[in-house]
Amino acid sequence: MNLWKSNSLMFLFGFGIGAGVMFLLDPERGRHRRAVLREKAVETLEEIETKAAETASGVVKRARGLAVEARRAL
Amino acid sequence: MNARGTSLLLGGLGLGAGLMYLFDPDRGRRRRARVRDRAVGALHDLEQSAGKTARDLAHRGQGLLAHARAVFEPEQAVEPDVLEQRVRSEIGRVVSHPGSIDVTCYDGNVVLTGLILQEEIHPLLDAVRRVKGVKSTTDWLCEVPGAEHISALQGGVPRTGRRFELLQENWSPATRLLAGVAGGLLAAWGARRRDLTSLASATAGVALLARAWTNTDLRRLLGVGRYAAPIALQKTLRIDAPVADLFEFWRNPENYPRVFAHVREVKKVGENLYHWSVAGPAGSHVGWEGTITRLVPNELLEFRSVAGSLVENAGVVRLDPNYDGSTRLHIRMSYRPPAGLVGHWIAELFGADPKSALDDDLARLKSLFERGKTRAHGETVTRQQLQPQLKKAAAAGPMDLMAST
Repeated sequence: MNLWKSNSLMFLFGFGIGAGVMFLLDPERGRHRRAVLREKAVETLEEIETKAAETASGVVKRARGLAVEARRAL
Repeated sequence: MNARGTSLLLGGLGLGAGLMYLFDPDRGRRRRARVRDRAVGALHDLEQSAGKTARDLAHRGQGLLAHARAVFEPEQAVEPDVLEQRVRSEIGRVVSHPGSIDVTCYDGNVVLTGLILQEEIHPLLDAVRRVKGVKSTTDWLCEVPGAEHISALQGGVPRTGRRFELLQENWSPATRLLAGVAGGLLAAWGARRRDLTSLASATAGVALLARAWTNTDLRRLLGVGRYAAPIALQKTLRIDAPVADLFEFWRNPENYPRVFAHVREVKKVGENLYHWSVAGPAGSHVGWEGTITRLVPNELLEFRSVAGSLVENAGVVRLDPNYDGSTRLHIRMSYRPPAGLVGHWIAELFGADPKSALDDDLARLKSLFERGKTRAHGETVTRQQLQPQLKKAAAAGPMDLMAST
């Protein structure tokens, strides 16, 4: 049963990889798709970077605020 | 991972890639339609071939039966017109100009009259004497040593007489079927075992199968020596530009790579000697050296690769003026792929299709001359960009301008 399950998973895994690779390496549309994917990846990375920077600066500001409040209380 | 797992993974990979190719969201519908069309075309071809083979087998069967009957039945007198047809059929196998010979038959005697080349007389008389039903021959033929000044003996193809079917260039449908089945069985038998004899038999089987399937000589298939089959391409198109402008473009091969996307580079390496580099299969580049062998201003340009090139090729570009001032461009070229027809098919499999490449590049040329610009190698090229180079080439003097014949 386990062997059957692992073989089925292997087939599905190969099927997915094959379909994905053909989608991206399509002789006619592949170049365009790879370019779109690259752009989206770069965009997402930039968004993550911006968000991370915002979050970091927020955390730093809040920490400073907390530190000031603590100093006042003491 | 077990062996079954690996094969399932690879099977899934292939199936996934194939299905994605056929069900692609952008191009899938067109691809499926093309596959369907090709399948229908292949079915029609198969139907036609099966019909031909069946008829051929039936005719051959009838012939064998008639031969077998003739062995056992007593010999009967043959009708003169039947005998004449038998003799004429045999003449066609041994004489280069069968039309110049007249045949008259009566009571099993054959009278031959007309013109014949000296060296063909003995093969002809031997062949006629062997025809079933011929009792005697009368030779009233006029022998001539050569065909000069005799209109009846012009042209013609030298004949080799009867040859064993398998040694002929074209195999009959029945022979192809029998040889194909034999080759397939031999290959299957050889593939099941793992020794040298089996390998030899499998190779012979595959060769026989390929010979029968393609009906092409093996030496031509593999491109051995002078038997290598050239691939011919041609295209005619109308370009709305004067002949002189187009000729100026063609006579300077160094300009081709700027317009033709499949030509990577053409470099002048000597007096009337150019090094060509063009797109080959799977992103590779194929190179050779070639010369312009004939140049007739505003009319014709012929080119040829130098002897010993990897891809031997030759071609001609002809320019004819139309009544409206446009030009009819006719290009004809042929090349020998390195490994014969097999090499050509492999190259096609890896994306090199010279016919489409020629069509694409000539469409770019048409666009350049009619709309003033085109795109090649990812760049836009305008006529103005090419024009100074063309003028420079024209000013370079006689260069390769050879109006030789």
